[in-house]
Amino acid sequence: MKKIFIIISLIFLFIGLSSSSKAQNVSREQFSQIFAEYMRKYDEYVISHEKYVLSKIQYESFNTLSSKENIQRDTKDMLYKREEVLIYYLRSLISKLDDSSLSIPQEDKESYVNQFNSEIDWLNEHRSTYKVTDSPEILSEKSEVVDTRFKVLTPVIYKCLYHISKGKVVRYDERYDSLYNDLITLTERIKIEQRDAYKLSESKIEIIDRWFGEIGAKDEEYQKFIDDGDKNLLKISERTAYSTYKASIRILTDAKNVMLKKISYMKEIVKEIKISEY
Amino acid sequence: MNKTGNTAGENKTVSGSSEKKGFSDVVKEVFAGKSKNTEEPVSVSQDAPVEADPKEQEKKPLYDGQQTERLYDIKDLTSDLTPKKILRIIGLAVLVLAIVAALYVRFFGKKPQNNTSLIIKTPTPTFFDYTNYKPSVYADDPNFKKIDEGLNVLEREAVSTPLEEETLLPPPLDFDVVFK
Repeated sequence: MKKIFIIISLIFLFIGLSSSSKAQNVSREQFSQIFAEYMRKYDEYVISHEKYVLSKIQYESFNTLSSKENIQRDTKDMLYKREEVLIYYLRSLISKLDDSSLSIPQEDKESYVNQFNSEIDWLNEHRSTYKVTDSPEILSEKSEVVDTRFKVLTPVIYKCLYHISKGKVVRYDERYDSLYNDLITLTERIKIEQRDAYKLSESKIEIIDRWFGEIGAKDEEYQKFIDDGDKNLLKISERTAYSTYKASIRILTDAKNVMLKKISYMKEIVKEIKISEY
Repeated sequence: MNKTGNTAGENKTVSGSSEKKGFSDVVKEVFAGKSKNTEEPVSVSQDAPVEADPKEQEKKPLYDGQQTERLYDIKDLTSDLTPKKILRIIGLAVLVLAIVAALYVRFFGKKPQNNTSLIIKTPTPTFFDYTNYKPSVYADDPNFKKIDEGLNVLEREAVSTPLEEETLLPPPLDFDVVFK
């Protein structure tokens, strides 16, 4: 009887734990699914593109009716698959913005989601316009429209990617701030401690205060890097989207390194409090 | 059964009689330089002593009676096996083997030549919290432990997670769909 009770308890415990961990990772699981679908669509696009390239060579070399028929069919297929890839790519970005481990301002998130959703709608409509009867020239024109729109969208995509990366750093910093506040509260309590065994000497309190001051200086440095990264991103344009994005990421990396330094300083303060003076 | 010596005066009973000889006396008699004849016991009546020929007397061994007590025989080990005997035999065999093996290794043994390539693994340092200081009253404080643990987890995550989402960069697509 006891054994049965223990087994049933363990089963319930397992189910409870698994469901709670699932709840925590819903956003990540959703992203993984969408991203996997995006990858699958991309593979399909690559296959259709290879067919298109072969047909194009034949069409441009022989210009026969059958080669024209083939190029119309294969180009339509390739363009359709290409737009599917774009749709799933934008969906992946939207899903990534939902990741709970990122700290992105709500208005920024909404702005990106709205832009990407409207682009998805447009792409969905546009891909239905492709017909087998479209001549290669018409297909080329239709493709150019997508190209132009995607070029306009590219800086927005890079901005979004920057904010995703920044969201990670900011989330780390928020977690750090929470631990920092806990340490400040504990240190203040120790400072007013009256019991001899729990008191810290004046010199030790001075040292700890000075070290907190060092962390404060690092806070400013961190904030400066974050601001610099944001400022740099304002320079983004269609032509310089990738390079500007990369430069901003480098600045973000500096900000992350400063945050890591703040963590190491805080660990030192904790260690100092843990060392006895006597 | 009577056991007699060479002369009447020297007749000695080795076993089975009330008179017993010392061990050294028996050894002297057995290894006197002449072969003993245990197959043909000489039976001489003590009542009628015979005058022995001095020549024959010289040829006869010092002791030619049946030897009933043997100093040592290997057959003794295998006959009438008792657990105690078996144990002794095994012990003796092991001892002999050990000595032989030790001697072989000492004088004939060669160092094994290692033909396989030696793989030397880099030793992995084991980290542990070694406190070379006297801990204060706050060393075991759960609040400080919680902060310490939180900082360690955060640091590990921040270091191991790449900042850039490389898989989410725009896909390389062919937008150059132009026909000649």
